[in-house]
Amino acid sequence: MESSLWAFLVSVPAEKQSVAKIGILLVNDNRLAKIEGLKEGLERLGYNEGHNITYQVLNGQNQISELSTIAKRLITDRPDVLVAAGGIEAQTLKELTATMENPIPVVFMGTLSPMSIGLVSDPFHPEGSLTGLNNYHLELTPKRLELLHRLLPEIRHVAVLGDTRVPYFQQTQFNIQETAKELSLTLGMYTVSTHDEVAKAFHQMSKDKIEGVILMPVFFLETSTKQVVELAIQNKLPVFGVYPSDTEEGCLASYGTSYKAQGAQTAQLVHKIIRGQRPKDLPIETPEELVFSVNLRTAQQLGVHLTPNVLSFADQVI
Amino acid sequence: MEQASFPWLMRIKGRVLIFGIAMSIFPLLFLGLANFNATRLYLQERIQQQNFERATGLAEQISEFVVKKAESLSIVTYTNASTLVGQDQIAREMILAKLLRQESYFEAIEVADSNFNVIGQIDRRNVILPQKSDFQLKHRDLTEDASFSVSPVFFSNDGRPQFYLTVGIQDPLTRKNIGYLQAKTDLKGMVTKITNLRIGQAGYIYLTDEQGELIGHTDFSHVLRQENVRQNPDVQAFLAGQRPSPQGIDYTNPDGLQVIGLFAPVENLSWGVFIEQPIREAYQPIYEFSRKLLGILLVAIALVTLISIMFGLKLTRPIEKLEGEVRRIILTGDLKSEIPKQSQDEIGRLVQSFNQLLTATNRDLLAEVKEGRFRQDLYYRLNGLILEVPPLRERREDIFPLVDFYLQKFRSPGPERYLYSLSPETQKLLLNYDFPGNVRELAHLIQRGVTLANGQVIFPVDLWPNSHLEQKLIDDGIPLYHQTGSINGYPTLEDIERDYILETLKTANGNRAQAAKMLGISVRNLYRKLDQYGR
Repeated sequence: MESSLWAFLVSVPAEKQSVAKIGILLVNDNRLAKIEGLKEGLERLGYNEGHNITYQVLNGQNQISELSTIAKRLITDRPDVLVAAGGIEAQTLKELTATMENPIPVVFMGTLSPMSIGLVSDPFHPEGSLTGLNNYHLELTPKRLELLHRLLPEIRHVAVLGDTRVPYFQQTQFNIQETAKELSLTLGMYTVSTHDEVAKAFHQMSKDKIEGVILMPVFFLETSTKQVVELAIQNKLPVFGVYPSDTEEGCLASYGTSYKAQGAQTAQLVHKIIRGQRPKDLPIETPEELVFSVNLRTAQQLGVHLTPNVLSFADQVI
Repeated sequence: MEQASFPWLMRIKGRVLIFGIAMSIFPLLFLGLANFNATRLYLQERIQQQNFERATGLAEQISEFVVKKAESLSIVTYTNASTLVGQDQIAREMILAKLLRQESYFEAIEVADSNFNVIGQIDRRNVILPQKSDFQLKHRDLTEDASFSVSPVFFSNDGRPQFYLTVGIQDPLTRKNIGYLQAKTDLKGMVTKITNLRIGQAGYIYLTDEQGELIGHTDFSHVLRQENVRQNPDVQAFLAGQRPSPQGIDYTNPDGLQVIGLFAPVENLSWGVFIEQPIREAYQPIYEFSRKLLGILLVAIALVTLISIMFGLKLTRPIEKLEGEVRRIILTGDLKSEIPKQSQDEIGRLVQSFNQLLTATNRDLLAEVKEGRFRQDLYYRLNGLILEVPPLRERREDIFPLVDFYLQKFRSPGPERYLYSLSPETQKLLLNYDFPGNVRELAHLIQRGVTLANGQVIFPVDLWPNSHLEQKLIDDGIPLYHQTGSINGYPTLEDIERDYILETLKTANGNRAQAAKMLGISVRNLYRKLDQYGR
């Protein structure tokens, strides 16, 4: 009786939570896993869909030219936080919110180096109303080359498959060239922006006696993994991808953070903004988890033998 | 009316109510405040003690975490010492890769020989280039007597705090040091895991190194921003080597928030764990307690006030009633009426006394005033409306109807209920009698006659037994009793004097001063004589 009275007297009533509105923009279904991760992450932080959080997801279905129109619709509904599934979505939302008097905070769920693609200039003090996760995929490109080299030490000629439309391509070339030089590898740069160009690029690689391929983390290749894998198997070329899903689709290996993990980590930033923090006070984060994934079935198809010491480093082996 | 300007506070009811309310509110407020203060202190101590225990617990966890990581490195060195420093590069890399996969907090691992030359390494993010011969361990401060060493904390390119954890590799046979195993350990994951402990809604935990550099925070963004916490008083206390205390320090944090902060040092690491909780939130239970206590106090005060009002009204109602009755009497001039006595307490006795006073003052007040026996101002105060009823002697035609009334009233007791009658002599006497006691005297005379009569006829002697009028009656030839003969005689001088005085008084309409003047005696003398006659 006494203790219950005491408990009553000192108990603090639960804070009444308002319902947070999250507007999510994604360019295609590939990035749905990020939304899944985001929702799971927010659920762990106490957000239950329909109860204290609602999501409005607008999908561009690969129509990049329509993304801006879709984004405007999203903004019209004035969500508390705008979430960009990737770099293209983040660029679109940044442009649209830049002119707003009270810009809606934008959080991106993993993009390539946000400094390189012009989202922010200082990752520790992001200007404007943007913050998010640097998925580190650009920075890891030299590391992928190293891992490919260590998995297949006999390889000497490596192709880098990229997209010249991506602004950081030149910078990446410099970084990867440095690494290649240290590892005594020669690199061939191949850029593609259509499926035909992919086929042509592989044809050219055969001519150039390319022994392995590194995929650059670009949007077009994310949507063309299946074609790349088919061509690689046909040409007996080991391909080192970016996402664990690339390995699942048939790449020999990949090194990076998964879509889902990116979404889950971004949930923390979304949570902070819901609680009233400003994007400029939330430095850009880097992934907490990197996954080295190897596909032994592909290795078998290619007829290559992977070094056991590097294989033992793999987090996922298919 | 005069009462309208009578201030409510000056009324007994008002005073009783004010006293009752004051006496109920002040003790309750005093007790409430005393209780609140004691509870506030208790809660403050409890909250601070709780946070201090959390800080101490977290410091132990961090220390244990580092020790465990060192142990996991040491276990690898015990079981794989020769492989780690041997010539088989692939075997060594396999051990390192396995270790890195198992320990998610390790960012990179290096193996060095006894001269600190790196002979093998693995890294999660950075490219490992072919080793150069002069490539040495970056942190080389492991002493012989220590099982492990921890380097100062540094930050990676992407802002994550890291440190080198180094253990020695001993030859399993000779126990001599043959190399080192060093892990670049990431603090973010570990600190995030530990600092996820909730400190209320807005409290947070952070960690600094021995320089006061922020190396961990519940909200990791603070670390990435490289927030300067060195100015925080609790950090300064930690850096000054002060002993940790559950007594928190109140100050404004870098975000401008008033917080209560305390710290606990991490054993063997020279780091400090700090807990800061916004004062507003930390003391929320206290505010909640005071709010509820105030509510309870208000309800209690309202109840006690209500009870005070009830008792106040109960106490003052008889007084008000008495006052009302008195006012009614003053307004109506009905001095014969009595105020009903409703209680046996002091108020009841006051009513009784008032009634007696009324009876005693049932006189011709104007005459009394004229005689100086009644206060003139009081007379005019009472003289609101006077309904003048003449004395019985001035309306002798009312004597016999009243006699009949009282004969009916005082019928004999018992079942017979005889109706008495007056003898003709008695009737004559009554008709000529002055009735100084007015109707009440007539009533008493009839009552006495009924009581003293031998039969059902009342004779004069039944009305005035042992009276000096007896002689007068005899002198007037009025039979005193029912008798066959009559008694005659002369009146005494005293009787004549008395009759003369009374007659003169009657002529002067009861004005004793005037009567005294007419009689040629002093008023004082007249009073003395009237006293002798029982008037």
